Amino acid sequence: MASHSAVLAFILLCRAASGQEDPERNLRQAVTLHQSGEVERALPFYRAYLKSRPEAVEARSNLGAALARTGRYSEAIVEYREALKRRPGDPGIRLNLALAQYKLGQVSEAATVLTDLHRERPADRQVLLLLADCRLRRGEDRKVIELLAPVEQQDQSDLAIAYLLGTALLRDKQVDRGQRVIDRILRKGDSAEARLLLGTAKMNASEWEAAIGDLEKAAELNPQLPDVHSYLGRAHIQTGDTAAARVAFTKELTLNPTDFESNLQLAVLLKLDQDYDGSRKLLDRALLVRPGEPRAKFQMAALNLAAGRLEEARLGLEAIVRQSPGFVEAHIALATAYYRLKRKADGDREKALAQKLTLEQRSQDNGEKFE
Amino acid sequence: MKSGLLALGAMASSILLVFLGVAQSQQPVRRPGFVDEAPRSAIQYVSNNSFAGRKYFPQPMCGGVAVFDFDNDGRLDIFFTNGASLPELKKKDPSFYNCLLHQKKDGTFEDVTAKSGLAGADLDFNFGVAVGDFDNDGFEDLFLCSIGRNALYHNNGNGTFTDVTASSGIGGKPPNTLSIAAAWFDSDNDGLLDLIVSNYTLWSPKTDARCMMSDRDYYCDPRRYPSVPHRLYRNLGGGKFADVTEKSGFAAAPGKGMGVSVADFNDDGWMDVFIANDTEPNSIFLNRKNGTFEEQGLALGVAYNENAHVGSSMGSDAKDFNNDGKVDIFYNNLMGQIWQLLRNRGDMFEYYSSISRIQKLSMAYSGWSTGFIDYNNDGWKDIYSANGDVDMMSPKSPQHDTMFENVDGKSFADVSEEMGKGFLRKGYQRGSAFGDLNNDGALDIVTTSLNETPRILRNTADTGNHWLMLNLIGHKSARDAIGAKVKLTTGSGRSLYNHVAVSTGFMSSSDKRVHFGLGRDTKISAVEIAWPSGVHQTLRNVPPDQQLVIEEALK
Repeated sequence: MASHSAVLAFILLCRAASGQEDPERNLRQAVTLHQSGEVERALPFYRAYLKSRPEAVEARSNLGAALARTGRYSEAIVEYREALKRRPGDPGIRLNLALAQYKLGQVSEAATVLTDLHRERPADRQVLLLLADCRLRRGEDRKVIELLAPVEQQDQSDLAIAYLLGTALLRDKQVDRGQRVIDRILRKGDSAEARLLLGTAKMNASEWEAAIGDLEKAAELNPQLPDVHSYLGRAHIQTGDTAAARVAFTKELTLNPTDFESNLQLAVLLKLDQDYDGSRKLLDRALLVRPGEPRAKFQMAALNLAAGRLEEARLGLEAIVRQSPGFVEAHIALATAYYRLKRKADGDREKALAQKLTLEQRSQDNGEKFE
Repeated sequence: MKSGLLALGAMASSILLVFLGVAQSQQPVRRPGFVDEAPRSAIQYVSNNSFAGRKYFPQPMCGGVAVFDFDNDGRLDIFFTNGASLPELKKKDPSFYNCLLHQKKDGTFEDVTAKSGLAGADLDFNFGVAVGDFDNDGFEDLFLCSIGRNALYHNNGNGTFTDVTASSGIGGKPPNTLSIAAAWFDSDNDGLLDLIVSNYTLWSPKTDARCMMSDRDYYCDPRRYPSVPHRLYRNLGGGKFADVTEKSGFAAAPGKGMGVSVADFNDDGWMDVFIANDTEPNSIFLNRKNGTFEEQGLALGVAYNENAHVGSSMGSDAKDFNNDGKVDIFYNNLMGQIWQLLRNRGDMFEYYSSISRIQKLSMAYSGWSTGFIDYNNDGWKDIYSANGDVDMMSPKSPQHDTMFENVDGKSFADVSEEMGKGFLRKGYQRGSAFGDLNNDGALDIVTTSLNETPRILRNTADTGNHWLMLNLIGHKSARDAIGAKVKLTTGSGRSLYNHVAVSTGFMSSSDKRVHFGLGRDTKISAVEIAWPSGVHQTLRNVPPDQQLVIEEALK
């Protein structure tokens, strides 16, 4: 994105130098400020220029990039979309749009843009990695494997690809295959990535204390490593250390505000600590990353229940059980909501449904789990 | 108890003040510990679950305890339940007998089982014990839970007991019902103690599922077995009981009952029942004041954990841990599950384990009997738990007891390591009961461990904190005054709450006296009592560091 912007700036500067009028002076000023890092000051000059030249795609794209750099991703997205109306296929602007969406937590939207880009430009490594990361964040582990396995077979030296693929394989319970990919990272020596993968493998084996050791080492080697604090938080929860989990999730969200699991898990912890507003903000963000994700929707409804917003809880839970009739926990929570709303008959019905579903699950399990 | 509820006058004429304790000298505040006093006495009892390689489902639940004064000599005695040989289900030799220990003047215990008639040679595998004076004759009686027939023993007042199960009508239950624990309480405020029995499942040696892994037995998952109704027996007077399980509404909410805790959760003057159900939703039966109860576990937020999942709910207790005047609930769980501290908000209970640190502190332990006890007399009830995993499959299975100290009514700290060697004995601890065995104002603990001798953990009581112990005697209310609520206001203005509760933890029965730790407060402004009968009494300017017998006013 940076090189793309630089080329654009050069072209615009050349145009400005060839004797344009006042609008061009605005543009020149905007680009100079933008390049010198004074992004905030560049914004009014871009806007002034675009007022007289609304069709200028490069300037609008530059404005989007400047807005993104100041963290105003929503506004950046508006500008990128406007630019794309005039130049629909522009790969640079589409990539910038996807990046802004990704940063804003609109992971699904980013994945859609990146999927098209990847189809058109399969050799673009940045697009590939970003798309894989979006899919991983959405929990689409198999799609990550489909995406990266062929690439990884051809080039086993790319540790970023090995890391993403290894994570997806482990999450998909393809432990042997995942282990082989991880081994390649481990052979490169002690690294944050290797420790993270070891930690996640130990989490899969429910070795929580050992996992915490690896994850803490990973965080020490590279505190900026994506996901490391998120996994650490999840491991701490399993040992009951919710205070340490809160610290870890907060760190992850500082680095990576769109991490779904950190948003979700920290929301649950805040809910237990009765910080309902804080919990709600995080769940909103989790649902932005994964719209409709059942666990996040359930936690939002459970939050409403805990906060006494019974009607909202009821509506949310009714929607969940409509969508997922076998979601036992949602039936249980819905029964609770009905009882608290003094709708005893509805509560009894949901309670009976939950009991029936539980019994069905147990009768299925009886042949397996309890043997 | 609502503030201002107990506004009116002390009935001086009806109050018998008995000063038994010794005033504590002022000492710097320090943390007490526990010393195992069992070796001082010749105790033959070992909780014998008949384990010999083959694992039978009920075996992990052996060794109920009761701490009570059976002969009214002012010193607490101890009763233990015991198992039976399996698969025969018989107490085929004395190693399976139940055991009554009488406390002598020197604080040691003598085995008086044979004389008392409580060996239970004709019974089978016994679990819980519930102490209650069901006929209001001034002598505490015993109810024993079993795999086979349950048993009611009437205390004859001369050191002997008579099995009155058949004549009382209290023994009835469907065949093969595992009755685990029981609690006496006055369900209809008629002055007679009724009995709730926490039932677990239907089981017999013939239906026992055998679970094996690599040619090694392990205890099967409880979810293999069905839930059954808990049973309520109404005391009709004259030593007779009626099984009102169906009529009362208890039959409508079956479970796999473990701990049972009785308290007035909604502060309406009528006692309710909480039952911790293993791998099933927990139950809270609210008293509808007309002989019936309504199960409200879901609505009140006690049925499931915060993720709408069930746990292996084990022992339970119901007390006001934060002194806000509302009775809270605690139940423990197995390793890796959250031990639940449920704070009573008035209209519902809220999960309080995370915010109070119980979640972190408890994760490594499998808890059985438990209770809120103010072990250090600072006015905040702490949480004790007898621990040890169900099975013996890993090095982490044998465990020591835990003491989670209530720091400020909001959070807890694990102080187990400071509780002494006897407290930290690892094993498979099961039953436990609390009481002031030596009348020094500090609560002691008696705990059983599978296939081991029990421990009698004497509180070192060296905190310098002050205390008050109340022995409430009901007249219009049942004599044991179970459920009577007490609000104590200290000279510095602290409000402390407690109530008469005998059935605590798991399979166990504790000292019925109401205990208050006062911290550094040396004055008590008021003691307000709300009796189950509706009578209210207030005592003012009560000296601390004493045991006080308070008789219910007759008008």
